[in-house]
Amino acid sequence: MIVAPGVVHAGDNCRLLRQASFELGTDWYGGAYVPARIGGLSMRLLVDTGGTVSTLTQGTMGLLGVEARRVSSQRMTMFGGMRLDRFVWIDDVQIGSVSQGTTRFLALPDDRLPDALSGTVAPDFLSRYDVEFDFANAKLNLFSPDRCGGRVVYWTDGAYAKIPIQLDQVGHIVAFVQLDGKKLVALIDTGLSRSELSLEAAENLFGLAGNSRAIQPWAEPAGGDRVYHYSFRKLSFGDETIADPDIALIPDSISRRSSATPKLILGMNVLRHYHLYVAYREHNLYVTAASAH
Amino acid sequence: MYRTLAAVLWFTIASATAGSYDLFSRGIDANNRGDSEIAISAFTGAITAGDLTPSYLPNAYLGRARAYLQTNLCVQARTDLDAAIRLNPNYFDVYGLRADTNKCVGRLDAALADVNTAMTMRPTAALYFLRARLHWDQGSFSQAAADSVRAADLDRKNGYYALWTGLVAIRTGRFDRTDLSRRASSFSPDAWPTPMLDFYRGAATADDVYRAAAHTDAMSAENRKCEADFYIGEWQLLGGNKDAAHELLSAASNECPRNFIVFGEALVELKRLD
Repeated sequence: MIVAPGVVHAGDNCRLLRQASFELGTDWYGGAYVPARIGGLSMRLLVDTGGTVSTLTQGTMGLLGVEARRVSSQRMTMFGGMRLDRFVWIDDVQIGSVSQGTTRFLALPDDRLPDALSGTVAPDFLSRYDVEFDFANAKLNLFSPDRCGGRVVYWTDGAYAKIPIQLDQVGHIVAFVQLDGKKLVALIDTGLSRSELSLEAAENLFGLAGNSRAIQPWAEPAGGDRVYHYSFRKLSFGDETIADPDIALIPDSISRRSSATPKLILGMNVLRHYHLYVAYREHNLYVTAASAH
Repeated sequence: MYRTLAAVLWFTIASATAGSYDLFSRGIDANNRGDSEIAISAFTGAITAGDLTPSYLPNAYLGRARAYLQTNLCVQARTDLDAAIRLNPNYFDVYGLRADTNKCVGRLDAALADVNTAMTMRPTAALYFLRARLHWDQGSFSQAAADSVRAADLDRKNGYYALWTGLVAIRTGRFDRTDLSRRASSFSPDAWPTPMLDFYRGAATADDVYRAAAHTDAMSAENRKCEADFYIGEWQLLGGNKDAAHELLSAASNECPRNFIVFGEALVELKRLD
């Protein structure tokens, strides 16, 4: 369901102008997706704050009858080191109720997403707005970033956390969190079903080595190194805390993320427990518990 | 087992005051971790609370069905998937999973109908592979061969899809070693199930396969061995060695985790042999 734009009062005479509201679907692994209409076809796009450019799977491109072409000056490096550098431009793109006109999409291998999804919507789209993730009520709301600087948390009169964020050069949201009492820089990634911490960082910060009994094996990708997981005691955005976040511990040799990427990446297993308002332009993240009202 | 009981007990206590959305979230996380018992408990709480956001209710039934299927509670899984489809008849994910549950309870025609419905929405490699195995179960080996090739062509990174093209091709008398070798060349020799692909194309012995299966941690080695038992058992059967085949397929049916594909297929083949 798509709700018409409207004004939302957030207190302190601050008016938020909601420009679009989408129903958030949930995929097989708990990812959040929005409806889209691309090239006349109805599709579902994963909302991916950890992406850079919005993507379409190669299978979807086949359905649309379009072919991606390499743009050598532009590429994106994914988890595991895979580099993507093929793009397609498509007319007639509508994400929810928001018409995009001609839009650039990066070609994504089919096996990177659950079968029911056609691609992703990334910061190239999201960062034009303030984005509210109301996971408990399955809603994604887009607000105009041109607004007053007052309180934007309109959905509750209770407490909330206001967390300063940094945006890296591709629009990723980076913020400080507390994990078992230690302050860490984290990347906010709604495109990941699980949260991840570099195994090397886990060992340095928390004494969780690969041979520790405290951690559990999770998977063994080809090559011999292993992925583990560990249930920490608590994770907090300011005073907004969740208990027992289970976080995958991944050797840097497997994730192959750039050295500039934060060692902690928060995925949907953590994020869906919160109600988030991302004020991209203001560089703040507003956080309450998911069920706050 | 005790860790699982402790986890379920902890979860029961913790969920006493949790809201339906929180339980729904925990169910998703538990499924992603492979904690089926906690997933079932969490989704049950979310569903019975009565105030879960309506659009999540089909997801909750699907999530609980996934967990039921992981523990081989196929009848319960099917009941939940029927509920999910009643709430959302266009829910793509549900049809593929209901096909699995129909297969699990032996309703192959119903499973095929579900796969075909899902394919009208989105014809994926996974669905072609599932349909190939359903045809194989029914003894329709030519159709199984066509679908297994389609699956392997759509997803060239899946070693099992490639392996099944060989397995089914032998059944139809159209085994093409060159084609299987071409498919096998896409996969790292160190990755599983490449050794089984090598076995089928004549580049490895059964001992090589079992040695490769053992070259990992204890749990993974057990899982790989049971897969090797199935695929080498099939090879023995297709070569006319029924006794050797029966022994290996029996081992697979006894040792493989019940949610493994080869567990179900071993049972099907043993039934054909008996």
